Amino acid sequence: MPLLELLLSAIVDALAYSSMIYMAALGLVIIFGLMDVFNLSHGAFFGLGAYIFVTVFYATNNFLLSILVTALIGAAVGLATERLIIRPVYGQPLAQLLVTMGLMTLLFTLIQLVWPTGLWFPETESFIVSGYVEIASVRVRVYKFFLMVVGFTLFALMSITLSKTMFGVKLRAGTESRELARVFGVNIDRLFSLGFMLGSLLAFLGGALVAPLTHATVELPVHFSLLAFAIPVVGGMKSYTGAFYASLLVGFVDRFVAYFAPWLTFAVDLFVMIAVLLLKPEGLFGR
Amino acid sequence: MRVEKLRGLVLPHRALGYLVMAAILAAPWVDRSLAAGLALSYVWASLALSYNILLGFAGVASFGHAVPFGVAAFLTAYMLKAGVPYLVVIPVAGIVAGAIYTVMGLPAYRVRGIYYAILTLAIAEALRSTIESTARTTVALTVGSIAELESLAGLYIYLALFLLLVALALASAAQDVKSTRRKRARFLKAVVYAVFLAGLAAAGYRMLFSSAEFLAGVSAGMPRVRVMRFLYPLNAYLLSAVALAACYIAIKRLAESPLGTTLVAIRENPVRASVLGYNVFAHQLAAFFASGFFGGIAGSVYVASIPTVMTDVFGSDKTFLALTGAIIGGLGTLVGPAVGGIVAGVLRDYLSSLTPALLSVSGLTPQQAQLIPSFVLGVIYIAVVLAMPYGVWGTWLLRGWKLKRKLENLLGFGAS
Repeated sequence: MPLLELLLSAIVDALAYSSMIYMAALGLVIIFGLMDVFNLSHGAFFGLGAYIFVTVFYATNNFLLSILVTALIGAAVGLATERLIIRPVYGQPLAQLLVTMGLMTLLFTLIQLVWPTGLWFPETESFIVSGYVEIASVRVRVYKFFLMVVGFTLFALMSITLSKTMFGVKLRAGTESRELARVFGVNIDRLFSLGFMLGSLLAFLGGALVAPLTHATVELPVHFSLLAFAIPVVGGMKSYTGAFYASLLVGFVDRFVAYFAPWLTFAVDLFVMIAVLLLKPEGLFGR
Repeated sequence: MRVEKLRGLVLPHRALGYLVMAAILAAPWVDRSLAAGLALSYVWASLALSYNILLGFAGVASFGHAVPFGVAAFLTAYMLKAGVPYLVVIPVAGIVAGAIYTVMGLPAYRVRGIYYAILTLAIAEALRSTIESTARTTVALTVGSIAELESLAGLYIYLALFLLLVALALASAAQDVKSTRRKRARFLKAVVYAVFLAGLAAAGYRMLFSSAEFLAGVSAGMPRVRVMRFLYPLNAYLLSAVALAACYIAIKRLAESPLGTTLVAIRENPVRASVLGYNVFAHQLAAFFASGFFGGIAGSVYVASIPTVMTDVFGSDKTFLALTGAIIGGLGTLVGPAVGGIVAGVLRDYLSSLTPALLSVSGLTPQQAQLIPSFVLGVIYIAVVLAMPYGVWGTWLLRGWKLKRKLENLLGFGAS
């Protein structure tokens, strides 16, 4: 049954893709929810993460180490960005928009400058990274399942962090009402720095995890930055669970369109986002 | 009445403007390679001016400014291929682009602020990727040579315009010098004007001399290829420069009109403006139309410089270029975006053609070296947003008088 096989591989692809988009957008949801800064350069961070990861991987040939290094660089970049670029324009939405737009373009240019032709992720011996399994005569890359697991783990970790740890409680308090959180003794400045660092770390981590599947291509940063913007818009700007459902929605729409109407792929994600913005600007899963 | 109006053309404060315009026309005769690079940067300056109507005056942030620009560029290419005269195409493309931008502005009624900015960014990208993926190949419309840019009339207009501007500059400068009371200031002004005018005269001599030589060559039966190589870039340059000047004057009029002042009132406080009885949304739509119209003219003139229109005209880098020009120059000012746009264009297009030769020693490929000016432009942009919220020209308007007074004291003719 070719249709069934097609369906199976489309579903696997869609789940993996949803997980990729979720990883791209999660940091943005945190940053926007907490600080009201719609960080347009978030997708560029994601792309930068992919490129740095592949570069480090070529140097060390160690998957886990490369991921760790990329995440650390992400945290450092996040801290530097927050201190140098975001802090001077707190409370000025237009200036934030303009400055992060500039940072996005700057990072895109930087990526093109340093890696003009993109980077190809090499084949490895590891079964998880480069292996294939056969399910009902469909060859599926094992790494896709790995991505799904990571995506769900991130979602679970995020939920636990938000509900069980002090940091998560403060984060949610800051998202609800910054003023009130400050009154109750939360050091908002430090929380902002931490939140931005975490968001940027997640972006770099997402880029690193996606790279073995997509390779660090030239289009990757632009492509994923638009997808990363789409998730908070579709899911509701400040909703952590909304981001999860929105990723599933966009992932499934994108992959199924790619399988059954390939000429519309990618544009259709943007159409979903445009439609949601026009019809329900507060998002589908927002409160 | 007529004479009064004509006399109004020659006023002391206009001298600088005429000098700048004449200098712009003189530039390609100093160095012929400037013509192509500068023509394109005038297109970006027009685009920055049009962007400034929306962001600077109406206060609406849209990241889809590439849409009217790209639509006009494609429309122009189509119509030129169909044989429509260029001078008809430009306003038509402007009007269509304005109408499309007005439609794009409709959601601004509901979707505001960053949401609207993201929406427009998504619309521009969706348009680009839909065209690219439905066509399945690279979409490229190549316009052959444009008939209007091949005519000798362009050269005559060029020369006449240059001479007229120099004459006006001379008359205005003479008036300015005459009306300055303080002796030292008068002397200094006279010297500066004389230096400028001497430079212009030198360029003008070269211009007239080589044009006469060229015209003699044409009547002696110079081969067509050589004629075109001389004439075509000059005409394209003239077109972009005139379009920029026309956009500047029209937008200046617009800003001074009731519509422009109402837009500023709406930008400053929309609720108050609506309580005072202004229809906020209708005014914003008017701003969208005006912005799209001038953006469309920029897109239409762009085709004269870059005859192959591809889907990258919808790319967010076009929006960013307009944004950079407007921001560096100063949002809400008039001269700022024009100068900022030229600076951004020169950095991005002209210098990027020079850097590969300059940086070939440092082990960069030409493509990489070409990107360095864009990178520098991005850094300048971020620095300006953070350090000078009013842009370079806006800051000068706000604080410049202090510097001016210091300078005057330094030169020894300060008002004591």
